[in-house]
Amino acid sequence: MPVNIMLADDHRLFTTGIRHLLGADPTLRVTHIATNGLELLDQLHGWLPDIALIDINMPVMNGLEATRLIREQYPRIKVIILSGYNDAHLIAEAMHAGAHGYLLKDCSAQDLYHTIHLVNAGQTSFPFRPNLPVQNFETDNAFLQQFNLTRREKEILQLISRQHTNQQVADHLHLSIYTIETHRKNIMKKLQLKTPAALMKFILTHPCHSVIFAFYCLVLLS
Amino acid sequence: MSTHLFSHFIPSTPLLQAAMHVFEYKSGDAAGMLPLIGSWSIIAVVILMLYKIEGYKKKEFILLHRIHEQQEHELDIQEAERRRIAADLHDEIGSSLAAIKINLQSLQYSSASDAQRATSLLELVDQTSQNVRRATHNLIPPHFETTPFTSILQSYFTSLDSQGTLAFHYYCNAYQQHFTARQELLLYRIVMELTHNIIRHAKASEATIQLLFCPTYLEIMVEDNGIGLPTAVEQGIGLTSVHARVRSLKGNIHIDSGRCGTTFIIHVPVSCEHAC
Repeated sequence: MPVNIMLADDHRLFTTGIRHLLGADPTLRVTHIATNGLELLDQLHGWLPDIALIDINMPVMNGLEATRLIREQYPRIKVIILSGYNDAHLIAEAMHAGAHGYLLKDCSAQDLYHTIHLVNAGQTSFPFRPNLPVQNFETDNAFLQQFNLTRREKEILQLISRQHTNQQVADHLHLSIYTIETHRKNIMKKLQLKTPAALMKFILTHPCHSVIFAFYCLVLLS
Repeated sequence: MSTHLFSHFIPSTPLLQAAMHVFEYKSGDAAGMLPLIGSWSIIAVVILMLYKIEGYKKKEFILLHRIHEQQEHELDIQEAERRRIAADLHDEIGSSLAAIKINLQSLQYSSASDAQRATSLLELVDQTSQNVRRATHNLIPPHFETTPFTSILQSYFTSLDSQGTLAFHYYCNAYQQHFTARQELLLYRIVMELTHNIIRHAKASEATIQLLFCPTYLEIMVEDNGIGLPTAVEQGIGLTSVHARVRSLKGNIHIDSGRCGTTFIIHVPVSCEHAC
């Protein structure tokens, strides 16, 4: 039994092209065509398609909104977003709306067939994004890392632990005292501390290895 | 005689002394009046000048205010225009290119040379639609209004991170919808302009961008370890649109630049209805 497909795009030339392209595969059959999200929902009576190929940018009701409603009302229909945009936040939003796949409009015919069959078989297909865990902050200190301190903030924390005043820290790092004060405020906010005394206590009681080491050196030297 | 005595008990302000002189010279001759007239006219001129200066200051203030309003208006027009061009590019050209490609692919070619020509045409279409997509994105990221600007920045910095020798670190604490779409666009543009400046001019190897949402304000902190700003820029020349945008948000900007890099600290207040 062929896979029944619904198309929704406001460009007729595009839907006609897709229809021709899908016609080349005997296992696929285009059964519905709509030019916007609302029209698409209106057509969903009685005879339901297996898969809906939906564009994001459409008048009246956009594709993401339509996807959300389809997934709510007809959970059997699987949705593939077919969009001109290649932006991570839109791909994420499509996933969030309940789509099973995301294809760029300028994909090759092979990609189109492949994705349709994959989604029909119950899998999902989204563009590959090198979504590496963002190495924002060094991993040398696992304890401090949970607070999302930047390299500069850790540097300043170390200098504070050596009893440096704001002015001394500023001179050491060639920064203005206002910048250091701001950093200090941000460090306290990130560590959820209220007073400078609490900050000193934090430095002394928590295993921030390099910080503590520097502090001990200072104690030993003095 | 009595006026002389009197003057010892009165604080010697110039005005009072002048008043004393009036009494003194009342009974004197006409020549004695000359220094009095001279000193009075000097005082009058000084008062007039002070008054004029005050007027000029007021005028300057009004003009400056008008310039800022003008700049804000210009920014709004610019954004509206960008939005329109981006929409046109995507809807007209992008969609047509997609339709051309799909239709080219569904054609049957009678000879191998025709198929070959179609393939190179397809490549050209691909390249063009990529260019259109990039241009559209640079004008304004798609669906900006419905997406938190921090997640758009997050994906931008993630894509930057995987290329080039300049490492960007991006951190944003819990996003809060403190700002309108217009304000978010201004904030996004500020971060993007500072980032582009780092890429183009700073010669840095590392940069950190932080967006910290606090209950009453948003702090944007942009740091790099580059060569620092030219002195002229530090004194306020250049970065015009950053300054204009910060002003439009009623925020303030602190620039700290030296040979070890530059730090921008921008504070933008949360408007009252969002804060309460």
